[in-house]
Amino acid sequence: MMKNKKQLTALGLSALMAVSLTACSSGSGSAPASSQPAQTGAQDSVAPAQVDKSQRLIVYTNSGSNGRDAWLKEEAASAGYNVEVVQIQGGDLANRIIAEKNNPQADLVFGLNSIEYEKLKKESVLDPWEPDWAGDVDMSLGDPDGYYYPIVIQPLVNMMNADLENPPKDYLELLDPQWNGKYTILNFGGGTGKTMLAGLLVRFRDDSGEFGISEEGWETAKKWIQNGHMEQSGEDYVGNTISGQIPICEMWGSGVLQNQTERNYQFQILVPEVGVPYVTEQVAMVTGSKNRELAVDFANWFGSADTQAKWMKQFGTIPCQPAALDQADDAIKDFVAKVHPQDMDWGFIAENIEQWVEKCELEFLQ
Amino acid sequence: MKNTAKSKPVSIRTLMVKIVIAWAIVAFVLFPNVSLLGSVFYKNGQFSTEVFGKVFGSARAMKSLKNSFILAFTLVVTVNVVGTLSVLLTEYWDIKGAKILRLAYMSSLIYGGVVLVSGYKYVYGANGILTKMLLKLFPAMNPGWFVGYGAVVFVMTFSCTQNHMMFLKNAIHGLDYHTIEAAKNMGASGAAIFFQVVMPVLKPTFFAITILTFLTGLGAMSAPLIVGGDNFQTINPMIITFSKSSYSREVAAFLAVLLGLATILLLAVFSRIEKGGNYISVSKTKAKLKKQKIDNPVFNILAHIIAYFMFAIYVIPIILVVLYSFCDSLSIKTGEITLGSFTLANYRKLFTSIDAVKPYLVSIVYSLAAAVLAVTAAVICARFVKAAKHKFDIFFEWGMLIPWLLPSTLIALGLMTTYGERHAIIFNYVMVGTVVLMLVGYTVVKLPFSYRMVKAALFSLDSDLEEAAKCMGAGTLYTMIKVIIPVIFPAIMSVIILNFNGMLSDYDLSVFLYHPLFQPLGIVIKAASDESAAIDAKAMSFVYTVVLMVLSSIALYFGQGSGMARIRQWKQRRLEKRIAGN
Repeated sequence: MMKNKKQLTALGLSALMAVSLTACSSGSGSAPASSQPAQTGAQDSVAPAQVDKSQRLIVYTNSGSNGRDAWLKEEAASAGYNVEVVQIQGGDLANRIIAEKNNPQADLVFGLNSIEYEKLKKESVLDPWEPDWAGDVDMSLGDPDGYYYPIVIQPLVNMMNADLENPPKDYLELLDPQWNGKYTILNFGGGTGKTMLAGLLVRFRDDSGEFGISEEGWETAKKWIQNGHMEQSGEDYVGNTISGQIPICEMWGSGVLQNQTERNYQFQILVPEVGVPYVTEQVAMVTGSKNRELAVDFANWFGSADTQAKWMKQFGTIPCQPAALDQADDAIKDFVAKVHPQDMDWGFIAENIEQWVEKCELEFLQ
Repeated sequence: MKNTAKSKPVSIRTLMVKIVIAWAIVAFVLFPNVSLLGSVFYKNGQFSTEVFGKVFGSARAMKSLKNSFILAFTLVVTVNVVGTLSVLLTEYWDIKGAKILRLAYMSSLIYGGVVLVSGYKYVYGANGILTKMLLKLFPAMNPGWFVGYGAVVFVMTFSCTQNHMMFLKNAIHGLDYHTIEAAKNMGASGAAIFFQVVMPVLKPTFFAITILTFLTGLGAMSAPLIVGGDNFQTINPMIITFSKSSYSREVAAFLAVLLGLATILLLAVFSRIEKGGNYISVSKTKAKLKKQKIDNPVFNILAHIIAYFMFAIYVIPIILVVLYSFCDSLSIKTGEITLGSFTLANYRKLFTSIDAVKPYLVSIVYSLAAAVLAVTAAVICARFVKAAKHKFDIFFEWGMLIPWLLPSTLIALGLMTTYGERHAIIFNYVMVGTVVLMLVGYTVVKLPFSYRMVKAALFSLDSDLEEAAKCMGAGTLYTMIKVIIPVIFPAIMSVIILNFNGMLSDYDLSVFLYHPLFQPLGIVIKAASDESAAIDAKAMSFVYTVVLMVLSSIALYFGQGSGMARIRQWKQRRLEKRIAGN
């Protein structure tokens, strides 16, 4: 009986701990209380001469793994900012920002691509703004309506075994029986797989077709999926590419560079004439933030050529700031020189991508 | 059992508790899920039927659905056989080295998911050590033999016996040895004793475990993904993928509802069978179980061989996981481990800064609080149902079981979409973006399991005990705390620990619900082991698994009593010393 009592007490104590944790955090005022209505315009009109950097900024990103979040926090601190970087995976990040509409937590968000930002724009959880470096970057990668601005480019390619002879020159060639089971298609749940699918489908845009894609387009997608090898969880697809077992594989830009260094290997890159999808990581302001001035100030600092160059050197990213890209090492410059962007209407893609993925998952995958 | 003769007037206190619990069930279990399903199926003012065509027209969805059911039915048989065997070999029969066997058999309690399946793949997969050995003996064999239905069943059979090791073990220790001795004296054979004396007492536990196993099979995720191959994929991965896209959510919800219907059917069938009555020893002084010697030497040797064979199956993957956690990612990916592959760098990454400790604390606090809350609710509701006075009381049972009908991703989505708006039912409180949300989510998903296991324990309780307490004038609450809970305490602790261990590294639910400043462990692990982001992802997933193994083992050690007993002994000794010193 004694034993039980002690165990119960221990459990009770820990439950109490949990409650007090709850109480602390809701009392400290770090999170906006639920009773406050979302306010946007009110703060902007105040416009103090100098921003108060001591206020805490909450930054959401899907690009904070691999120590990037910690690095950014430290680097920002030495520039005088007090930021909390919260790393959340791509698809889940957009869902979260939409869900927090009535109780926004984040001040700004970076890392997502145009498809996700279009979704957020539609749900009216972003505010228009302008960074001071907007003139430096290629704004054709950003948003014409001024909601999000590009910082990092991620070209999505197919990388190939170095010894592959007569490599295909376009994705459409892969439909040929000689490539049956010879190319890995990444999961449509992930960003790369999804965007590569979109890149193929938009070449067959037909506004009278099913979900905006012509009959021929769907036929092509079906053959492309069924002739290829769908990624299986846990398999070493990069290793399969190198060994030649499945010599072609979809890969995101920094992944190509990273795997080349890690495995000491030089891949061939498949770049069709139409170009490859350029996923661009962007930065945007979340509606309802009470530190807008400061958030914009931080984004100005983060997107500057200086910070982006450091970011690149630390994590091998491909910056949109031309001045930062100039400082890149040869591997990055080499890779960038090989690829060029495919012309894609991100608004159209954002509107239809979920339908496309569902159709492929249900009807074409086997 | 029902006391319909002259029921006492319902006490105000009981009524208050009932109202609060009923409100909680409606507000946190029913309302969010119903409103999610409503918004998914009911579009533009009419019921959408498009989804039927989509799902039934998809060959892949139909095949996956069929596979899920095949898997669930297979596992009910195989897991029960292996699970029962592991308990009998360690607790009932006298097998040499039972202690070490028990440790091995309990390994499925401390790790699971992707890493467990990978562990098996490193033994049996194309690059696995067993396959490499076999290839030397039979060069003609197919190295990719460990794929498909058989592989999935094998992995899941050995990884899903944790409920047996917890609850069946408790139940076996609750056996009254007098009944076995009496049967022996009457000349019953070992087999007769086992099937006619021991098994009937274990029936409620078996029912509960069977339900759990069936549900595990239906919801299978990592094993089919990793070793299922092209021909044996199941439905749950598809549900998770679809539920994350707002357009495809109706497909996810529809598939989940199909699984939910199967679950309802199963629960109803079991509820009915269970009413058939339970066997309880009427003896008031139970004797402790003594291990049974297997008299037949052939069977005895056979039992030992089986026991150690199973030992090897359980232990080899876990050894590999621990070894690999010390290797660099590239060696793990390619499967070529040399002495040079070993490094401590992975572990160094765990504690780069003081911040690294926070997710552990967050997860421990949330999981523990949710585990205790869920069990508390389960005990109260199981009690209401057992002492049901009114037809309405069955509401508590179904209320507690509802979260089983939907995958946790959808439950999280329900909470997130519903309580991102103001609703009168929780007093217009916007729960999204607060620290409460995840606690609610964790608790809700653990309700059904807690309820089902507590109910099994409560229903195999001798009701004479309770009546005796009542006769002596004890009130309901007093009887509950002083009589009932102490008797079913081992079961309660087991449930709390399994709940705790289950939520410790949760990702599916947490990702939607956590407060951005209080990241739980699952989120951190996912970020560190996501292959598209981290260079050393593979190695880090092993490292975190080992860390979780340690945490879970600590929880098990304390929860199962031996840890607490140690501490008490130590305190006792210190006290004695002090007295002696005076």
